[in-house]
Amino acid sequence: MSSRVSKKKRILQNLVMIAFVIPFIFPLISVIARSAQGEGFILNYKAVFLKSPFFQFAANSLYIASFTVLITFIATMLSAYAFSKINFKGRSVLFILLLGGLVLPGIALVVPLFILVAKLGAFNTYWAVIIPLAAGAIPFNLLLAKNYMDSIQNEIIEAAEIDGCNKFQVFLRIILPLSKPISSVIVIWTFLASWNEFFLPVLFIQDPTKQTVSQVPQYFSGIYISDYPKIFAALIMTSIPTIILYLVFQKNFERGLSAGAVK
Amino acid sequence: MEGLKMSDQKRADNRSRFKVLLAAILLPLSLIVATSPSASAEPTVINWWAWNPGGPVDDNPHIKAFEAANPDIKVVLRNLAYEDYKNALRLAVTTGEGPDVFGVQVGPLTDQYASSAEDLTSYLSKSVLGSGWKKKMIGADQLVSAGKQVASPFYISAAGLLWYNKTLFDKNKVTVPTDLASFKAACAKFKAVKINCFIHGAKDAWVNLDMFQTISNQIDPGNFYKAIKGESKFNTPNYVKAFSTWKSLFTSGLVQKGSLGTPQYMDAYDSYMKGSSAMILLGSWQNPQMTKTSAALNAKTYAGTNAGKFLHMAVPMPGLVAKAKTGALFGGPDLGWAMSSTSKNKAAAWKWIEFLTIGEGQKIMAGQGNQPANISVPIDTSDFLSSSQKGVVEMQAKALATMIGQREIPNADVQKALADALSAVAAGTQSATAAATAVQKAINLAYGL
Amino acid sequence: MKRNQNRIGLLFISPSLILVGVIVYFGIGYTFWGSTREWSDIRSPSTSIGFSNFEKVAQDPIVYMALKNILIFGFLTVLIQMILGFFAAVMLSGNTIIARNIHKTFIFLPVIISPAVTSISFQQLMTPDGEVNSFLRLIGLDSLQQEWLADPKVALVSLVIINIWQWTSFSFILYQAALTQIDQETLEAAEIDGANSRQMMAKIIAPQIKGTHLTLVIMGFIGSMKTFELPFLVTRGGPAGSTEFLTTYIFDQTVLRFKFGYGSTLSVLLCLLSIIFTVVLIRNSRERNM
Repeated sequence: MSSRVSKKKRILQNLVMIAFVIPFIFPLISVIARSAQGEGFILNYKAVFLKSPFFQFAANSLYIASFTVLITFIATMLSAYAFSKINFKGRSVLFILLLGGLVLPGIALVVPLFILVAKLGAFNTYWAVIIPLAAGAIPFNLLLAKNYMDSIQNEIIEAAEIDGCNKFQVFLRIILPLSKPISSVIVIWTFLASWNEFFLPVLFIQDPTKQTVSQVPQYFSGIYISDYPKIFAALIMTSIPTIILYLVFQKNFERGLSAGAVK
Repeated sequence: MEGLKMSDQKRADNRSRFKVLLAAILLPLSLIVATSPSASAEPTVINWWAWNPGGPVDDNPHIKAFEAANPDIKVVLRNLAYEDYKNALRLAVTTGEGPDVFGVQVGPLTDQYASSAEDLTSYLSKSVLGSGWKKKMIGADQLVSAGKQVASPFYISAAGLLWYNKTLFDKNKVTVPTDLASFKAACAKFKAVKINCFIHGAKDAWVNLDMFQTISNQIDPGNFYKAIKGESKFNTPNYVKAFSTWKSLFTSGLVQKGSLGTPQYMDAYDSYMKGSSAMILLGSWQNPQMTKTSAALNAKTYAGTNAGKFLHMAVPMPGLVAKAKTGALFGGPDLGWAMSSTSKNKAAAWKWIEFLTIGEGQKIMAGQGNQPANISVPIDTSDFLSSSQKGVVEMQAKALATMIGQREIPNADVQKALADALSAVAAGTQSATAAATAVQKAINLAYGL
Repeated sequence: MKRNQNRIGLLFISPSLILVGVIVYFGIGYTFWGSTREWSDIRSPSTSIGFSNFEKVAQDPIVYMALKNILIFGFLTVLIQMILGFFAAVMLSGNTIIARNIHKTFIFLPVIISPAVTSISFQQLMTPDGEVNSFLRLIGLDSLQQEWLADPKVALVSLVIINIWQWTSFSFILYQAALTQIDQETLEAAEIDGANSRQMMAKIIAPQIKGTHLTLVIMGFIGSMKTFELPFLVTRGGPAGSTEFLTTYIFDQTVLRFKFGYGSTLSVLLCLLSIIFTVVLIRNSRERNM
């Protein structure tokens, strides 16, 4: 906190910090090490790259994630703007209702989801995953976005309206550009949730060509039976895209998350 | 005047818009219709679902032989770990997008999927076996539920066998156990050379149930099968003794540490196959491991170990109690193949099931050392690694003919109660007496006693 | 003007309303309906049995065990994550620590990795001869070795540990954000006035981060109740039910045993618990703020 900390204290604090972080790094290193066992690093990753439909699965996940992000983003930003800046009847009640979705675990809806998907013949389609995912992602992102937009000064909006802008134009030309930090949070968070989603694809996508990247371990243990090193290699491959995404957007993400979360 | 002209124009516009719309709908439809019939030139695809460890996905001998004889049908195999299999199967069979042919075990699975499966009775009676087919297939009646022949039996297997790695035993000069004392002696010897003696995957309920039946059959042969249906009492000293014996396997260290967190398939199984453990409780479905084909496959799957060089053999589980009556095996159809009632290719699906359970598939199973369900097909030991292993099959043949009971517990809730009790007793959170009482309670509830 | 605002407002929120309304609220309604039925197959009809499913739930020992597990799990994970997150936020807020960004990255990485990947990985790392026990041996803490996933007394704690590994950075980021909101000048003024670290912590910092505490407690508990992949993939609710959660039990009853009626009842229970808890907490915080 201040720069008057003694050198001894400094070294001690650094050591403590390193000791703190080691348990976080350790499992990552172990998994990487494991993926190099068995037939060896090169052969394992080669098998994942070449002999498995890994890239097909990744493409499927990308498809699902893109649509989920698109739908969630549009729905969330539109609603957040309305809840934050438009005074309409039933505003607070509807807001709480929408937030109610935060509280619900997806598994509690497994029966109606089953029925809905079966009746709509949506089994083995991506929409069976995209729609519930988007519906589940909206509440949290809505909360973040509305909090963020609350901090946008009303004077700017009023000025624009005096100039003749309607609500939609205000949304496009003022709100959206000013909301870039929270937008990146919403995009990244929703992408993460979608890419990492395990439960919905397991239930609804059984066609081997349509499976998602989170079903890779299951797929591998069907093919390689006990070749755990290959399964671990697949797990690492699965995580790399999200890690890269995070590293690229690190600053944006942290800024947006803190801006939206602090009330 | 102007107004009329406008509306004429508008009507003309509307008409042309309508034509465009109509074309937009009809064109893709016609394309779909046009391309569908040509699908008959492509082979019919049969989706076949099974669980691990099943046959290999690539180069599956059954698929190869079948597709050679039926070039217009293609079979696609999907293997899942057993627990994942059950999860995936459920919704899949209620739609037309799931498997055409899928595996079921005797007992709860057969009951649960009875409504999703085709009744195979008429198919079977019209096959080469004729109307007397029931007598020509072993265990077909165990796959009946709700008045339907839910599945056709594939092969017969018996559980209660102690499989051991003969190579490791010979190398370390250990004698195969015949009772509890010699079992412990063998374990002491293996411990000295840092080989795990007996591996047990207590995380998987089914293998715990197998072990319990084995113990129970050593105390009072065959009574288990009556008691589990409420025809005899479960909360009796014999079953308390069985639970205590079960617990002692864990407390004495005969079962390895961490067993409750280890699944039998694949972790415990892998440990045995790799040679890290010397003994494991399985059944006659392991017979294929005595063949040269399997040895070659193991060398690949477990690259970096001696898996391909091991000789595996089996004996009935040695006596784990005093005055044990050993030798009995229990079982039935290892699994049956069912046809999904929502399958779009039922004729082709039946051809595949017929191949597997009546035709050439039976010979392939026999060649792996399995007892085919089709009574007319004998076991073939020609591919076995060593002649000493043939004795295993001969021992089994006698026991298979006089199997002491059905391995799968008929009622799903009772099965869960017993599985939970075994888990709790092994973990030390429930006493043997309380366990027997809990199971009796479940039996009473299930059978309205 | 007002009427226009109403229409436009509703228009803007309609996509969210439709999506959440259909999936979540229709879903809840259907689940409520389903909980009053005896129902074992998607396609066969169900029979109405009133509230007898709820009686069954009240007498089901597994439900009580699951509730106990959720409470212990929730309490431990939330508490420890908040402590660790706060500690890291404080340590990394000044400039005494070198390579701060590297520390931050490593702490944050687990959040990005999918819970499914984490579960499968830890399941292998926590076997008796796995890396976790090896590591303990390496640093001389042999006696702390456990059968992490096989001992019913320890299994739940193992899940807590994995959860902490995965989610601590979430607490960390929120605390970090709150700390940066604190006016640096106020802190420096206090320091000049002779306040030591403890006083600054208590009088200046603590009040400012109360809001973060509440947010984390609510989100943490809700998260615990929703946890599925972790207990499902790592221990499947075992051994001997020591890691059975309501979510895994619902899955077992509904997807594996086709008891749709009873499964729905359990779902209703889970929803009610989540709602009650959230309402209580929010009301509690409002009272305190007044």
